[in-house]
Amino acid sequence: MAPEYEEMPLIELARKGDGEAFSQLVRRHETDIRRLATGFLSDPSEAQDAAQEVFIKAYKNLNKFRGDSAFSTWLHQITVNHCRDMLRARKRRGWLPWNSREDDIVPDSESLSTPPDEATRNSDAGVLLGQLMKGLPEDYRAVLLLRELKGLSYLEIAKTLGISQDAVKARLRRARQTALEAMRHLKASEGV
Amino acid sequence: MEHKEVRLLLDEYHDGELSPATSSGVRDHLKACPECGAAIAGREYLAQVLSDAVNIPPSEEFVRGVLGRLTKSRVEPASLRWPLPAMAVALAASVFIVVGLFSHTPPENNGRGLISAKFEYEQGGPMPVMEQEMEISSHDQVLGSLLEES
Repeated sequence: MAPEYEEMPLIELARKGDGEAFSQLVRRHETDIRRLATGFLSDPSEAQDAAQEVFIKAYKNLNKFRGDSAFSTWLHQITVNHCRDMLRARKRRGWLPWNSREDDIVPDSESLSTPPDEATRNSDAGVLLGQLMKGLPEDYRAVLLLRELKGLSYLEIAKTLGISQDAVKARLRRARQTALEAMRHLKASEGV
Repeated sequence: MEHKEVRLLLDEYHDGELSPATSSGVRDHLKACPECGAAIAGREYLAQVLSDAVNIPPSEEFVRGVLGRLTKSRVEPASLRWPLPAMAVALAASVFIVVGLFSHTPPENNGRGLISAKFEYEQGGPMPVMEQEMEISSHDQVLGSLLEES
């Protein structure tokens, strides 16, 4: 990833309407944003549209980017917010059975004690992603994906999402517990 | 380190958020504790699944798609953060001046507003009297009387 100081000239040019400068920014960040959106939405086609929308929003709002954080952090914020909106729209349409209340999630204290076996490991990762994400509230998805896909530190996640590091830690723990428990349920339902 | 203590630190250990000393303590515990070792393996597996599921190559087609949509968009102007209060102050000042002009009609204009008096003067009527002039002259009078007293 290019250091922020290398991107500022491109951002300045793009602000003045230089399409080529903005296209360079898109090329630098498109895989990251598409990966994040795919993780969030578990639907490659929808994620593609979402990622496009993220870049369009970023372009329109370039003047609001003040440069106090990395451009990538700003894009992550737009992506998380946009994907959250899409998930809420899905929920309103009843498109996806959703369990978004944190109280509803009761992780098994032993759920992290046993690693999934080889059969589960061999499951298709894309299908698995959909199954895992289906049971995760959007706040949990955000911390889990920013950590596992982007490798962000707790501090960086906290800044991106505007929450405390303690909240990041708590949500990450619960997200992993829930996801691993879902994996175990999946394995059990497959009769493995 | 105690098992209970390590259980609470597993996520931070997995994420590389612990100090080197604490991390080393957890690592030592993991060598001797299959339960905690399995919990770490579960976290590593989850990370792998997520990473595999979104293993997306760069796409020039995607970039072209974004750029194609840009032709219909433009960068919006910067936020009007300071001009708005400035405009509000200017508006308030204008209102204050207009109200001041019409509400303080000096008796010398016989109840007519300054503007209408000015209009009448231009049409050959009596000269309008401005309040400030009256105030200045009264100040001069007070000053003069003070000088006389001293």
